[in-house]
Amino acid sequence: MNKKFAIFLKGLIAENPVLVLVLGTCPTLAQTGSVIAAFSMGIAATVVLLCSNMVISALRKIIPDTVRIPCYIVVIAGFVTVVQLVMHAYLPDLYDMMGVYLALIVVNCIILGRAEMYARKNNVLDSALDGLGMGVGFLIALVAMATIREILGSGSFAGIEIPFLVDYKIPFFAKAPGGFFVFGVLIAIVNKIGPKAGSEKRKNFSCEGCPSAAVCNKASCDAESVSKEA
Amino acid sequence: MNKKKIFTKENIMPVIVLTVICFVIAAVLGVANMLTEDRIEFNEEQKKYESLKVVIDGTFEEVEKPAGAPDSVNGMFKVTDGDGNIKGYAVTLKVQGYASEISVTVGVTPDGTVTKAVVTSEAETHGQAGMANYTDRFAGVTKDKVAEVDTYTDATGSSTAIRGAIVDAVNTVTGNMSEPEPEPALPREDSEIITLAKALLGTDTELTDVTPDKMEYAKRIYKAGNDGYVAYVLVMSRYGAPETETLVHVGIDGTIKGVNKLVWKTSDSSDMYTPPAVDVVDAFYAKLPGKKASDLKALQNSDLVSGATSTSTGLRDALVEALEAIEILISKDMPTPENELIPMINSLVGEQLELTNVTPDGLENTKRIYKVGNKGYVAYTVVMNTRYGRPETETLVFVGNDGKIIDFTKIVWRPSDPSDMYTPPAADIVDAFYAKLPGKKASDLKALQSSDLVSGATSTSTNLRDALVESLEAVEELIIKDMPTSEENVKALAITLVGKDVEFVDVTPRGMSNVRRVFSIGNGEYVVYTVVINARYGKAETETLLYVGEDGKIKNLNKMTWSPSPASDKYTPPSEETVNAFYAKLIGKNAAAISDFGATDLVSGATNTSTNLQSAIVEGLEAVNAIKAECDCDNADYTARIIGIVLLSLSVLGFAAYKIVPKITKRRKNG
Repeated sequence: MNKKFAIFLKGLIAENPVLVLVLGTCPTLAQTGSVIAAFSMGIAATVVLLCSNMVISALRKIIPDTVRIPCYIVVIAGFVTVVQLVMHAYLPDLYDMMGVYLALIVVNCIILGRAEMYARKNNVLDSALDGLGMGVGFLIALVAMATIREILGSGSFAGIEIPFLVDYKIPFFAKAPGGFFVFGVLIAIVNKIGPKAGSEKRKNFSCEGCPSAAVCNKASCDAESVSKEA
Repeated sequence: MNKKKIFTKENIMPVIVLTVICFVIAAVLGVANMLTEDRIEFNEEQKKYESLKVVIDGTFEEVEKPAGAPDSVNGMFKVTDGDGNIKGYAVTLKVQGYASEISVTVGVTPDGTVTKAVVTSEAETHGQAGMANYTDRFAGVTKDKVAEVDTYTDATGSSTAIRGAIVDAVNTVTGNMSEPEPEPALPREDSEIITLAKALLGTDTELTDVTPDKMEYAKRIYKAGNDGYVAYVLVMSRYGAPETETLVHVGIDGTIKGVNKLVWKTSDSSDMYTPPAVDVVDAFYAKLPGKKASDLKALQNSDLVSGATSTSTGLRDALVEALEAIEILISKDMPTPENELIPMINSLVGEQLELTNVTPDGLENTKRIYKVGNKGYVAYTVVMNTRYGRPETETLVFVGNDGKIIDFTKIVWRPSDPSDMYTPPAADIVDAFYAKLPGKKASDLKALQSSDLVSGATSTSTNLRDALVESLEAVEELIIKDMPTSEENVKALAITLVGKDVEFVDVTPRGMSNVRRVFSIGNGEYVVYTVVINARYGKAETETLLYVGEDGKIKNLNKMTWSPSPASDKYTPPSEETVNAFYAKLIGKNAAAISDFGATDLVSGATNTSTNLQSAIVEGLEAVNAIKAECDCDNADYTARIIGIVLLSLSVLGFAAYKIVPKITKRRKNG
């Protein structure tokens, strides 16, 4: 049981998709101007991630290797469209707020990345836990970033104005450069306080130093070394 | 690679798997779309009313503003809560403020209490902040207190206008419409104006008052037979006295024929101001004859009266108003007056029946539509030749209750005058074209090819065809509206017939002969109401209400009316059992089965009536099938598109997987 729980937990900090794996950067920067948008993006991505991970894991023995990417994309796009339709029908305000970024979940690297790195090699329950963990990790990262950006940049939290700060807002944080800035600072903090901090110093910035090296079994490193040899 | 081994399991499986996944996902999306479609449509619909939600929240539905509502009311929206109870109305208004037009949106409960009012746009001389605060004073004010709300001290003009708008909104909702203000008396008696007008015309023609509503300056417009129109134009000065009073005679081509300068009074002569000399003023009036509204508008400052620019500009604008109003009157005018038309209609119909003018608004060439007893309709169409300014064609068409032309009268057929360049078509060619008209419906006329029209007068005959299509379509609308049983009663009967309360969606197709209403009642079921009018007696021979099931078969029906010719010495109507047996046969049958009915299946002794009824019912059932097919078509189209996209992507992916990927891997391995 603890082992299963660990699968869920690792997505939160140790292998946080945004702050450690540095995936899904586009929605992270675009949707963190306000907490509500960030939260709904996080929830929508989590739902899609959970569902697609489960389905892809269930089909992992059926999907041939040669066409796995098109298959994953079809599955992911299907779930994204369902989420889109449901939100358009029942949460029209959020739907309007998220705009094109809702549809762009299809090409969110986290989702395709987890399918490729995890779901196709593990059973349905593990994949579901992984998807949930990664989704919540994504959500936490987005909300954390959005909180900082919205409080400093717009002087409000989830649309509620904060009395003192609203008069001294720093628009820089509400704009794209502020997004990059907060993103960088957060990555640095997580790197410092993360569980592995200090214990394992990065030898280099190539494959061995990659936090997800363990998950991908250094497959891409091998390919890289192969091509280097060639 | 050995070509024979291309269809191995490893090669084919990916294609199958990807195809299956695509289909499953497409099916999932189809279901999701089906479940959310209505809701999404509703959301999109409600988005239009976003700006109104500020004043009163709920579900919006645009309603027509009641007759007699103040002019300031722009739009009115009924607001209901989730259970369909009326919460109130949102009213949008536009009023003239102190310096600009002010748009106001007001929420009003049915009992006349203001929920909230907001100013949506204005450009008054102070900031909007004060205005926003001002409208706050109205929230929760009941109808009898609205007019007593204090105005805003800094902006009395603006706030008075806003208060006026809110009072208008409350009055519109509560139905408390004020009587229109009586028009101030003219400086001259009508009889005096008429005498002066006759003097201007130089004849003693009968003058008819045809003044349109809401004229600011053109206080009277008289029609003077074929001489055209005479307009009495009054401009008041800012002191409240007439500045100019003018009579203009306008010909039927819309140009000024003569002018009578009744009053021209500029400011009094003073140290500061010398009025222009009389001959200067008269020179201006002398310029007017021969001009149209557009010519007057194009007048330059130098054409006006120097030294009295404001007065002459005012006069010019007033004359333009009069001329434009007359242009509209001319377009409505009929080259053949009504009293000459009626005998023509009687001879066309063949008997003297009661004529009711049922002309709808908004028709261009159709000047009149008369309902001729119960025999049908007669439409009078006029196409004006813009080049010659005369009617090109004038036609009477007699249209039956099935929307088909029964007969016609060619009153005028006059294409361009013959010249060296142009020979009009021979009379027999033209008559051959007219002879094609009987038996045609609007859709048949639309389908006419250019070879069916009059060669040598293509433009004239095309114009005529279009004018007739307009008339026939207008008649079709009238036929649909004209039902022996009112729509409410039909719906009530339908509810009894269906056996449950249903929502009726009117999907009646146009151009039907006997089908008066088709209602979609959900679940693919329809209610069809057919009426067959007895051509001889001009009254409903049969009226039938059909309840059509999802399979296109009659589930149940209501024999509303069955009245063949009355009994006489020569004719005994069939017994009621025979008739009922016929109706009973219809239940459970679809269009094809009913159209296959032979003579023995019909009601002996009322063969005509039952044959007519049969074709009416078949028409109704086929209309239902057509409506359904239309929906199915869309689905089929959608499915075809999905399959197409899936196949296309599959072939691309397949190609990539089997041609490119192995090559790359191979190269890598080799490398």
